[in-house]
Amino acid sequence: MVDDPLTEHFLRKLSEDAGFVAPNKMILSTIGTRYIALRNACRRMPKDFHWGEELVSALPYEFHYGNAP
Amino acid sequence: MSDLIFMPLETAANLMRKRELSPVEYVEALIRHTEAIDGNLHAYFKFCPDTALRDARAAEGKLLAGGGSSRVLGVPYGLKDVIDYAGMPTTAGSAVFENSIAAAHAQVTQKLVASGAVMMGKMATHELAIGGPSDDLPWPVPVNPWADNHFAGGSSSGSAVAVAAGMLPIAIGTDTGGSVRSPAANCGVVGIKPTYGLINVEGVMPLSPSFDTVGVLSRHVRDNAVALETIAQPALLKRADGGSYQASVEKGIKGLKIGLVRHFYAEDEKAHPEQIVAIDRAAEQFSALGAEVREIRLPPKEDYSACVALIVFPEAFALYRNELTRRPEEFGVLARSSLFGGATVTAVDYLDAQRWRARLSKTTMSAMNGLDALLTSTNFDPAYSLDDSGAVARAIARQTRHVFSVTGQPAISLPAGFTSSGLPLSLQIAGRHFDESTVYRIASAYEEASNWNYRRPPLAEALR
Repeated sequence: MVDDPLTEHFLRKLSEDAGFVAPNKMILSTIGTRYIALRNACRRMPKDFHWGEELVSALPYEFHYGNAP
Repeated sequence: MSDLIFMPLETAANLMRKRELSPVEYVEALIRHTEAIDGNLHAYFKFCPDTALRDARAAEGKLLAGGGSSRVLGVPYGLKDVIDYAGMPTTAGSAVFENSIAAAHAQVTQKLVASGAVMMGKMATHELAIGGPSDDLPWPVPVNPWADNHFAGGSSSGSAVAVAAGMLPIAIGTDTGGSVRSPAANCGVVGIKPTYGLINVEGVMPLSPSFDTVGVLSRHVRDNAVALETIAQPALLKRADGGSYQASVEKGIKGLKIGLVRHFYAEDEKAHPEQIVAIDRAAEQFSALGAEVREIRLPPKEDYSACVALIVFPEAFALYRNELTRRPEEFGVLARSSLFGGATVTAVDYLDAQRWRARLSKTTMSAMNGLDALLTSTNFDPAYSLDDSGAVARAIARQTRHVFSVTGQPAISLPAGFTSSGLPLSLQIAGRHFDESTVYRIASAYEEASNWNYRRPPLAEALR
């Protein structure tokens, strides 16, 4: 995957933006594999979210992390 | 003495209260058993017999002075090594955190210490509760006591192995996407992921704050209820039926309405044939016990898993970005490859996934209208061989644990029989938010009717 210059350029940019300094081939290859897996996960998401829908979980706010009594 | 090893928590606690069993004698028996078998099973990262004997002597003193109201006074427990115990390392199974000493107890530890329970040690975990089983870490991989060289499940692997093999009556784990329920299912024990928020997670190394929960593993449902009551936040425990989970287990299940979500494991993807039969038989058993069981449909299980992935990985990457980007080679391959994925999810996709979570939760709760609980699978397959190179991927994909991580509902995994080759099978029961009482009520009725939990793992017996 990282043998293709365009793909390598994209993965290197993605990795550097994520905080990796001079990412090596192992990092680029792992990021590339996970990128594909998580884009596949994204494809299952509905595409019709409405601006009024909740942006956080459906659970009551009082039980969110750090807010529990 | 050998009876002490697999003795239910409730029995041991009652004997200690009646001064018929000394906590020191009980703990010494478990220490000897652990020393005899854990060299082969690797449940503990850090076994602490000195701390245990200190706690046992303190419990004995309290019992001689009249005891008090604690139901776990003198009862041994283990902590998954993502939970802080002051003065001990919390490694999270990672070389990166090998020398990270906890300055204070986690909230859950405080409750156990205050209740007079006996700390036996820190239990093995997948790295950062996500990457495992890994053979490239400083600790050996825990072994399933039901079959040599088989996967114990994870990430609370050591907790499940120790409970299954009689080293502990209860252990505390954590469950973000199934990390209590998976090893419980593989090792033939009871494991609950309580309602999100029921247990305070302060002092627990996070993985994904949107999903992280602390859970309990035990051999018996009643013991699980006692332990969960001990660590639950009192203000939320008040929501339980009668303020107590234990009271509800006596009630039986006559008249309860249970939704069977069969398409998850029989249509969306087919579980192991013996696993399908085990859950179908359990559904018949629930009917025979007086519950009304009817089949319902929820969104495909893959939707829940995709939603979990799009939230867990970016949250985990954000938490550990400093270590991951500066010292990636110090992580095991499995944790590193999972966590790197979080760098590839955009903020927009992450927020959409949170909206998706809300939708999936609402859909699930709507389908539960008129129902008290849901019955479905936990894992699709019995434990895999550790030599099976495709096992890690299948263990992550072939399951229905993510469903109740998304919704935040309480969910318990129970033993549901054994394969023809002697490996544990499992089922999962989920209830409404903060209705752990009904979950325990149904689980207890099934346990009493089936008695699967009295069978002992061959490796635990053979190694003694």
